[in-house]
This record gives sequence, structure tokens and C-alpha cells, in this order.
Amino acid sequence: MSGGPRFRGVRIRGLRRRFGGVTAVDDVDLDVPAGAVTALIGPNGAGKTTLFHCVTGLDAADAGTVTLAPQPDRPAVLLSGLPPHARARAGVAWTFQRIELFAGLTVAENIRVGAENRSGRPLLSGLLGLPDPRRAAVRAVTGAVLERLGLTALADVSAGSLPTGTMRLVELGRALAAEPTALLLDEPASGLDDHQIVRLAEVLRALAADGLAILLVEHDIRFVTAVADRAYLMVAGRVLLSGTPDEVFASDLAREIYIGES
Amino acid sequence: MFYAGLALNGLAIGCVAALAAVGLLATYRVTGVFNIAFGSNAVFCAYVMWQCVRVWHLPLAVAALLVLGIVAPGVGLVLERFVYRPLRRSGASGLLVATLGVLVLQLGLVFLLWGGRSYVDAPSLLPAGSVRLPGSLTLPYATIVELCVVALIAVLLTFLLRATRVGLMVRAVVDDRDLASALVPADRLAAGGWAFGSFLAGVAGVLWAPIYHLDPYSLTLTVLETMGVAVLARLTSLPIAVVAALAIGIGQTELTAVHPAARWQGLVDAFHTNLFVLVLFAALMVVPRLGIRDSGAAGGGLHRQGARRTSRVDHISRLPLGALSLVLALPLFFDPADLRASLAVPALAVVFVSLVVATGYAGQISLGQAGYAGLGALFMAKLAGAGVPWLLALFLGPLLVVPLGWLTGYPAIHRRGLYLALTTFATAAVVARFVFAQPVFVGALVVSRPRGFTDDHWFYALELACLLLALLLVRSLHTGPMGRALVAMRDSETAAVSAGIDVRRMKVFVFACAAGLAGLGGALTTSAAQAFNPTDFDPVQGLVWFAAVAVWGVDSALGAVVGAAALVAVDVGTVSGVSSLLIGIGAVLLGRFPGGIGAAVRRAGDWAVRPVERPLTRRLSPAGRAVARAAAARARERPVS
Repeated sequence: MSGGPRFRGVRIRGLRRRFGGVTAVDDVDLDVPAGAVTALIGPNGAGKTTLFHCVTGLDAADAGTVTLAPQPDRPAVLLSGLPPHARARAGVAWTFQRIELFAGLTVAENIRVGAENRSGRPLLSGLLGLPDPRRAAVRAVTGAVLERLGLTALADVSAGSLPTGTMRLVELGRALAAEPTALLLDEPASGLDDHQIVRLAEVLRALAADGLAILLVEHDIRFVTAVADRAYLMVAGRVLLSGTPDEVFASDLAREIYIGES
Repeated sequence: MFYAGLALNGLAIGCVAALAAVGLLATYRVTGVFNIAFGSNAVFCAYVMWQCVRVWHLPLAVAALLVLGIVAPGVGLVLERFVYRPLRRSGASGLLVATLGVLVLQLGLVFLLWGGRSYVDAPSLLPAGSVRLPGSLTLPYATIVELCVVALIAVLLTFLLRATRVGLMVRAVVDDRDLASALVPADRLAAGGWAFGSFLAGVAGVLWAPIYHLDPYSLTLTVLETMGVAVLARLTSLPIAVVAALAIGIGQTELTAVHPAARWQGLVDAFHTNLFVLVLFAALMVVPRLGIRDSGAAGGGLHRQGARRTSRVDHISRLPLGALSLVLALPLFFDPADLRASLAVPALAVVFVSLVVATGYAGQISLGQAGYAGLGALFMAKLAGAGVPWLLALFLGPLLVVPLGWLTGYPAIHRRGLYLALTTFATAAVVARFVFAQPVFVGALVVSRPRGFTDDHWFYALELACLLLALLLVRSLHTGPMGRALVAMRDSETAAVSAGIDVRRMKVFVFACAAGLAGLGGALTTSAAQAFNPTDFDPVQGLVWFAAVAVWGVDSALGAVVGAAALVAVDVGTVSGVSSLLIGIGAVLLGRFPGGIGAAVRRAGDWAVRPVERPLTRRLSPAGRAVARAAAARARERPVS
């Protein structure tokens, strides 16, 4: 396990989540380092999405800690206990397994909402219509994200009327617009065609190269192999294996699960 | 201290409440709809009964047969066929607005047919006289009969639903009508359920009318207040509902024997006359969840799905704005008598705009704006009475409502749909009963306008300035970062959170703003009339306002202003009841025209500018064009909802 005092990224220690008698996540340690793509794989019901929700704050862990170290010279931020929006502002961004877009806004506005709310602005100044001091920065970020994802031509199209693949891109754009330290993606490749998957892999590689810590929950073996630096295999709430994607997929356990399953 | 005699009196009150609560629950169990219109349905039947006996002089038995056997179930059948069946897929919020529409419609009908007069000579079906009990106690026959009716309904319904084939089919239809319709005659079962529910409302109304006055507003409100019993029973348990209703009834009369120090007597009196309201409020605060499927989307069914809301000001939306300003300025040139009637317009418009803020922008269904409006008026009058300059008090009073809105909005933010609606309504009812109805608070109020504004022209101009101010504040909630954040919140709360939006804080903030705006509207209303009139802020009035705003488009501030003007104009120009009737019809039809009149106008506007705009595809790269084509195909595939 990589680590050390100068670790950057998301660090999960001893995470546990129980639902009644079922332990969905059982004492999981996991590092999502900056500058790399980490994949979390495993069969249905392994607890991947629960783990994901415990990191974003959409679900509360029963035990364990999640910390985010945004800068090498600054102390880590303890995410555990914070509400989801505070985690988002602290630098964690995520997308959803079931696409969640703002259908009443355009593509550009969707991304802009992500950029605008990364710092809490006093609500009263918003009500009184005072100019937003970050307005220029927000515009710049929105433009850059649109450019990076190739969405510029669709900027003024209503987000509710897009095909699934493009919706996934817009969701990714909204997450990126907050200029996060860590990016968590829950099955980003589902519903995409081959061409779009290749494109997404390129984008994710480029983002990792820029220093982003990316955690991927994914089923698609080819996609994980193409994009991830490290893979963790989760079964019944526990992380049983870790290594490069090739190593993990070559293991007997993974073969049993994936080939036995399909 | 417990008094047996008082307890027996309380039993009578409790019985009547139990009857309403059991009717409400039974309707819910057999139709799946929490029928807010239960009270108005009861009132309508009671008025028909009065008409049959007192005007047409039909024998009591014939009249009862006509009302309970034909009219009441008939109303249920008509409502099911033309209101609820077309709405069966529209979710809890859509149904809520529809039931609200039926309530307003029925009240309008009562006003139109009977002039809204109250009668004290409602015919009684129950035998007079009473049974002598040991200890010189008496128990009226009426109470015994009512107890039997309640028990009979509860037992019969429980047996029917639990042990019979029909009951099983009814439960299937309530659970998932579409799924059930493949296996059972769902439409006929639902119609039967509504006929039965409506029959129960008729029974409640006919039995209640002779006990209370036959009065459209107060009787409807009384029935609405027994919803607390239904909430305590979590909308599921009939026995709990019966026991709770009886207990509250007995508690209410036992409290009359409590005689504290003189200065607290008023408060105790308020308690014992309004125990049901308190229970409704407390139950909503305590009971964590209703046994009810609720719509996930906040305020869903009120907005047009995926409604496009631009943050840019386009020329189309400026046009009606200009026309509207002209029309609103017209009364400045009216003669004094006509101007007097127009004074109500800007005041009501501000209240309506507050509803747009709470429900349209924040997605929080608020049936309680009447309460905040009244509080704004009250605070203003108190401040003016305490020597604060009037013009300052006019704004300071409503500002004091904001923290109260914050306080009451806080518990509301965790709730949605029906539960939220009930909570806000209960707040308004508590405020109405414990503040507006108490001479301690509303006695000796200074509401006369100061020099300079005694002339209606100047006051109207001031009102317009206030309305403009309200619209300007609302604008920043509609456009810019805040507007975008609010749309985001309404479209997907989970995604809004992921973008860093503090959804709870935002909701409470906007709710509190809406409360303040309503307070301003209330202060203006009171100043226009130069008298604090509690009926202006009746909770039932709040329901009518909500329905009116929903009809004009819940996310359209301009629609709200036009709606206020239209409401006042219809009220002044026609007999009472017509406006309620129109609003009711509009609200009932809302399920078929989501977004109301505002959205229809916007659609027409979109359609009008379409030929002028360049086709989207011409501005796109080849890849973009492919995406746009796919998007268009998707849009075509989607069924028109």
C-alpha cells in the first residue's frame, strides 16, 4: 500500500457499514492516490456502491475514517462526519450510477452550477443580487470544462434532452467544474458505446496526469484494464485483492467471480 | 382532576371527530388518496341536506336517503371519473393539488348556491333525549348512535379489507393501479372506493351540521383539523384513530374544569377550544413518517417536467411585463370608489409572489402563507402602536416574520409532498387559532394609515412600490447563481448536494424569505382595509390562495401578479363563490396542463419565436449535429405527459 507522510488523495481506514444483520462494508482500508486511477471492482452486492456513498457522505459509516489530503504541505481534512455538500466543497467530486442531471438547465448551466457552489457564498448577498466576486473565475472554469469534454457545441442545449452518453459527460463536467482534488465515478461507462468508452478513458487518463485522484467503481473489465493503475477486488464487503488490473483479473478469485458469473 | 360528566360531554365531541377521522382514513385506505377535500365534501352534503329539508320540505328520511344514498356517492363517482382517474399517474403532489382544487371548487359551489350564509337550523338525523346513568349523569342518544356508527364503519372496513376478496382487490388497486388493472377491474373498484369515501363524508357532514353551525369555512376547517387524529394513526390504524379522537374530545372538555390564575385563563381557554389543532401540529412534529407513499420530487406535478428556465432576460418576457405594469398603474386614475377595490390587488399579489418563491422556486409546498401574512400585519400594527413610524413599521413588521418562517420552516425541510403540506397548513391553523383569534393579541391594534397615505392614490402607489421591491428580490432568486442553484435543487437534490449546494440551508432560507414576503403582503392588506380582519388570514383562505397560484403557474411571478388581479377583479365583479369555483376548476384540471397558465403562455411564446431562431443544427459541428439529431429523436419518442 502506497502511503507515507506526503500522501495526497483519499485515504480510507477501517471503514464499516452495517445494514441490520448484513455487513455491507467490512473493515476496508483503501488509498486513492492523486495522479492515478484506482478501480474498485467486484460482483453485484459486494458493497462497492455503499463504500462509495460512505466516502461521499450520502451514507454514514458506522466506523472508520475517510480523510482527504489536498496539498502536500497542509494537514489532511477529515471527511467523516461532514455532510455531503461540505465534502464536495472540501474537494471531493462524484457522479452517480443513475444519471442525475439538472434537466431544467442547459449543459453549460449544469457545469456552471458545479463551479459556482464550490465555496459557500452568503445567501443574503445572493438574494440582494450583489455581484459574485468569483464570476469571472466561474466563467473561465465552465468554458475550460466544456472545451475539455468536447461539449462546447452543446453548451446551450437543455440537459434533459441529451442521449445517455452525453449526459454522462455533462455529469462528469459538473464534477470537474468544482476543481476537485478527488473524483469518484460510479460506473461511468455504463450506457456508453465503444467509441465513447475510448474517449472517456482518454479523458480520465489525462485528468489523472493532471494530478487528480480518481476512484472508479466499474464492471467493464476492458475499461478498467485500459484506464486504471490499480484495482481493488471487493467481495462481500471486504477487499480481498489488490494490484494492477491485469494481476487482479488474472487471479483465480476474479476468474471465478467474473467468468462464473457471466 | 377528572370529571365524569365532562368526560361524557367530551365523548360526544370525540365521537364526531372520530367519525371524520375514520371517514378520512377509510377514504385513504380504499382510494390511496389523502382527501383534503373530505371536509368540503361533508359541508356540501350538509348544505344539500339543509336545502332538502328546510327549503323543499322533504321528509327527513327521504332527504337522508337522497343525500346519503344518491348525492354523496354520486359526487364521489363524478370526482373519480373526471378528476382522479386522469391523474392516477401524477404522483402525490399532483393528487394533493387536485384534492385542494376539489375543496376550493366545492366551497365556491356552496358560496354560489347558498351565498355562503351560515345556518343554525341544520336538520338533525339523531334522536333527541338522553339515557340516565347512575350518579345523575346523562348520555345523549345522539352520542350512542354516533359511537355505533363509528364502530360499525371501523369494524366493517377492517373486515372488508382484511378478509374478503373484494378487499384484497381494493388493496391491490390502491397499491398500484396500473399493475392491478391487468388483473382486476381497477376502474370500477376505484370508483366504488370514491363513492364509499364520499358517502362517509356525507355521513360526517350531515351528523356534524346540527352540532356546529352550518358554515362553509368554519365547518371545513373543523373537519380539516381532525386530520391530526389521522396523522396520529399514521393513516393506517383505524382503532388508534378512534381512540385518539375520543381521548382528545374528552381532554378538551376536561380542560374546561381547569381554572388557573386569571391571567392564564385565556390561554387555557384557547387550549381547550383548539386541542385538535394542537394535536395536528404536535402529531406532525412527532410522528416521523406517515404510512404513505410520497412523491420523491419536491413539488413534483406542479412544474412542467424539465421546464426550460432561461437565466437570460429575453424580449418575449419583457412584453407582458410592460403590459402588466401599465394595467397595474391604471387604478391610479380611477375614481376613489373603484380605486378602493383595487387596493387589494398589489397586497394580494405580494402574498402570491411569496407562494411562488416557496413553492415554485424552492419546491416547498406551502399551505401556510396565510399565517405568515397575518403575522406580518399583526407585527406591523403592534410596532405602529408602540410608536414606530408607520412606514418603518410596514417593513419592520414583515422582517420580524422572517425568523418565524425560519423556525417553522426548519422542521418542514425534511418533509415533502403531503406531509410538508399538512405541516405548513397546521402552522397556519395554530397561528390563526392561538394568535389571530385571541383578543389579547389582536385587540386595540393601530392599523389606520398616517397622514400622507390616507389618500388612496398615494397608498396605491406605495403598494405598487412594495410589489416592485418584492419582484426585484424574487428576480435574484430566479436568475443568477441562486436561481440556478434552486432549479438544480428542484431537479435533483442528490446532484445539487454533490455540486456543493447546502440544500437544507438554502431551503430554509428561501422559505423564510417567502414568509417575510407574505408578511409584507399581509401588512399591506391590513393597511388597505385599515382594519385587522382575521378572516383575511383564515387558513382555508390560504388553501384558496395556493390553488390560485398553482393555476397561474407555480414558478411564474408574473403569473402570480396577474392571478391576484384576476382574483380581486372576479370577486368585485361577480357574486361571491365564482372566483373559488374558477380556481377550483383550474386546479382540478392542472394535472392535464402541468405548469398552469404561466407555462401555457410561455409555451405559446416559445412557439411564436421559433421561426425566427436559427435551427440549432446549423451552428453545430458534424459530431454535435449527430448528438442533436439523437436528442431530437429521443424527445419525439418520449410520451407527451
